[in-house]
Amino acid sequence: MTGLLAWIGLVVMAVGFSVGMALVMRRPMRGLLTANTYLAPAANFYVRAFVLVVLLASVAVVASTGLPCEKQAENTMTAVWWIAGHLQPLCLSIAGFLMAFVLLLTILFAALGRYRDQ
Amino acid sequence: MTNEEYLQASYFAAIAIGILVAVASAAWLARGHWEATDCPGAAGLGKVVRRAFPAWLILAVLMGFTSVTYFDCGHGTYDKIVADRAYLVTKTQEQAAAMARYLAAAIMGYGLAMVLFLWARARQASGAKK
Repeated sequence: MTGLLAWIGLVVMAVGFSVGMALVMRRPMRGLLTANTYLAPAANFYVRAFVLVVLLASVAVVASTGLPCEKQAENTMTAVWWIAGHLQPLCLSIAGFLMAFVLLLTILFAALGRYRDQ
Repeated sequence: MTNEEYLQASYFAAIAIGILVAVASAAWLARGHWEATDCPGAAGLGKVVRRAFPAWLILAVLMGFTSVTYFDCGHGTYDKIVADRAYLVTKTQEQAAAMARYLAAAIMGYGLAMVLFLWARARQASGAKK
């Protein structure tokens, strides 16, 4: 039972991290993507793509994680350690995709940000 | 459920779920994608891009799924693979993770391709204004 709870805890944390990241990034992304009329039509696409990418990054980690064995979840502290052990690949995955997306937005802004509305 | 039945069920269920997720992702991004690619100056290119997008996501999921192999040093034959239930479960998990990773990477890659589309569109529009 503790093992199942630990796994559910990991899933909740993964989804929480993704949603939190999306909420933190959404408004500044919209601000950047409405800087001129050349960027504005793509705003919805990029914001939604970001939410999806961050969610998939955490799903990839959760999907490769099975339930902990009995010894890994024999009491509360071992279950917490098990979750903590899986947070590292989760954070790495989200951070990697976050950086890649920031790089993508930088390229987008470098290409289209210099155009001015007349 | 025998190990062989489990292998068949999990294999086909995994690929079906992966393709469904790819289609759902394409549908969720469709409106924004339409807004970004709908321009009178490049209507033909816009149509091509819109058709290619779902196919691109489905292909990415298929690539992720097929990137996982069941054969390794300890499991060189079909009988050895089927005999090990824990190994089958691990492989299904690996397939799910690979599909999610490939799909995320495909969306990122497509975002990069969209930069080129938008840049060409902006050049055309600013050229037309002059």
